[in-house]
Amino acid sequence: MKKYILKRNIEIRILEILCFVISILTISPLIYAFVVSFLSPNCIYSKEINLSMLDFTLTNYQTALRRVEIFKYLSNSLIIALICCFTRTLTSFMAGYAMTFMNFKGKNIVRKLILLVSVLPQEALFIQNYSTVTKIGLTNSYIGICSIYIVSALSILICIQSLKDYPRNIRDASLLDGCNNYYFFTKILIPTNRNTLFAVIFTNFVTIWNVYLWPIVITNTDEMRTSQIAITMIKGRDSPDFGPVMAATILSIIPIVIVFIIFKSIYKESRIDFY
Amino acid sequence: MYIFNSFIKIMKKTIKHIEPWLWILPFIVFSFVFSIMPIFKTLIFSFFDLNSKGHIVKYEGLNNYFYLFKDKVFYKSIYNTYKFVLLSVPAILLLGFILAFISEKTKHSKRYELVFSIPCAISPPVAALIFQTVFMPRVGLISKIFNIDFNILYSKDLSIFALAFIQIWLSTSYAYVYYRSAFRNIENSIVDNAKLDGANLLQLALHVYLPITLKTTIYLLFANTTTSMLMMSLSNVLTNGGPQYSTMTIIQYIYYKFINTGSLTISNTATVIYLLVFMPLIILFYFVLNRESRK
Repeated sequence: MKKYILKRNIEIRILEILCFVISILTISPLIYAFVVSFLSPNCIYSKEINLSMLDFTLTNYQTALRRVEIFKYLSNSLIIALICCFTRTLTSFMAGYAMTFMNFKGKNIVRKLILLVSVLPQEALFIQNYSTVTKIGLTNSYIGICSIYIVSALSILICIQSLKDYPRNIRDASLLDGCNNYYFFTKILIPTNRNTLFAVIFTNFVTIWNVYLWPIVITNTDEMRTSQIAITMIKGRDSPDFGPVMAATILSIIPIVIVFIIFKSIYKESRIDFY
Repeated sequence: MYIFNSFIKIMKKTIKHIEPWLWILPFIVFSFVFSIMPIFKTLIFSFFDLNSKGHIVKYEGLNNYFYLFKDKVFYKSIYNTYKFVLLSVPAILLLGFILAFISEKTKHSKRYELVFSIPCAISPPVAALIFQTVFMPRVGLISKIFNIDFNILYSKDLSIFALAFIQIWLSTSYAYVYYRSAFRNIENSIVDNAKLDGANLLQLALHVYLPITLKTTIYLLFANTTTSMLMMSLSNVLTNGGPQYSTMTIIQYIYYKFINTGSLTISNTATVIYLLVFMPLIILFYFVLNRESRK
C-alpha cells in the first residue's frame, strides 16, 4: 500500500513539473515579445545573451507610434467589436428565446437553418460578400466591416442550450399576470441569465476583435483599418524592425489581454455545454 | 361593432402567429444575405467573367475551371491546406486534452488555467508577428537558445511546420478551455469510483475522462478543422505564400488572386472548388449536430 501511494506521489510530481515546463513554454513568446519591445537595437542584434548588456529604452514605442497611429486603429477595432458584439448578443438571445419558449409552425425548419448556418465557413464566402457590400457602396465604412458579423449562429446555439434549462414556471406565472413577450425578455430573462450573457458577449467580442480577412478585403484606405491589419503594416519591406514591431504588437495585445484577465477572474466557473 | 370586435380578434390571432418569426427575423435576414445567398451566387457566377465589383461581364462557361485546373499553384495550395490540417488538428486535440487533464490534477490549477488560456486572446496576425521574431536567425529566441542560424520560414519543406506550430500554440488554448469546462461537468462520484477500483492516472484519462467528454472532442475536431482550413492570416503575414508557394492555403490563394488580378473571376471559381472540397465535412458536421440536438 505504501509503495502504491509513493508511486502516486511520483506520478503527480512528474506531472506537476511537466505542467510547469509547458506553461513556461506557452507564455514564453509573449514574455519574449514584451522584453524585446523594450530593448535597443544594439541589444537585439548582438549574438550573446549577456544580461549585463541589457538597456531598456522606450524608443521602440516612440517609433511604433510615429509610424502607425496605433490608438486610431485600436479605436476602430473597439468600435467594430462593440457594435457587432451588441447586435450578435441581442439577435442571438432573441432567437434563442423564440426557439425555446414559443411553439410555432416552422420551428423545426428554423432549427435546421440555425445548425446549417453555424456549420458554413463564412470567411470563405468573402468574394461574393465583397461584391454585395460594394454594390451597396459600404466599402471603407464601419457598417461595411460589421455587416458580415451582425448575427452569429453559434451564439444562438449557446443561448438555446442555456435557455433550455430555464425554469418554465416563471414564464407561466408571468403569462398569467399578463406579461407580454417584450417585457418578459427585457425585464426578466436577460437579468437572470447573466452567466450566459457574459459568456456570449465575451466570446463574440474576442472573435470580432481578432478578425483579419474581411476587414482587409473591404477596406482600402488606411483610416478604416483595424488594429490587426495595422500592426502587420508596420513591417518594413525587407526585414522587420524587431523592436518597433514588438512594441506595436504589445500595444495591440494589452487591451484584449486585460479584458480577458478581468473576465476570467469575474466569471470563474465557465460551463460551456453543447447541443 | 360586432364586425370590429371580430376584426380585432383576427388581428390578435395573426400577431400571435407572426410574433415568433419577428423574434427570429434579424437572424434569418442577415444569415440569408451573408451566408446562404453567397453560396448560390458563387456557384452561378463561377460560369461568368466578373469585373472588380462583381458585375457580370460575359459568359465564360467552363473556361474559369479550365484555368484553375491548369494552375499548379492551385493544386499546391489544396495540398498545403490538407497538410496543414493534418499537422495541426490532431496535435491540438491531443495537447488540449492532456494539458487540461494534467493541470486539473495538480495544485495551482487555477493559475495554470489562466496561463494556458491566454493564447485565446491573441489573434493569428499578432501571433504571426511574435513568432516571426522568435524564429528569426541570430536575433530570435530559438536561435539564441539553440544557436541555430537557420530561418525555418525560408525553407521550402519546413515552413509549413512552423505555421502549424503557431496554429497549435493558438488553438490548444481554445481546446484547453473547452476541455477544462467539460471536466468540471463530470460528477465526482464517477472519478472516485474509478479511483477506488484502482485506476492509475493513465487509465483514468483514457477510460473515464475521454469517453465522457466525447461531445466536446467531436465539437473541437470540427471547429478546429474548420479554422485550419480557413487559415490565411498566418501565411499571409509571415511568408506571403511561402518559399515557392509551399505555405499557400486555398483561402490565401483566393485572396491572392483577388488582390493581384483586377477581377473576381478566378477567386470566385476557386471558392466553388473550396466549397466542394469542404462539403463532406460540412455535411458530416451538420448531421452530427442535428442528431445531437434532437436528443
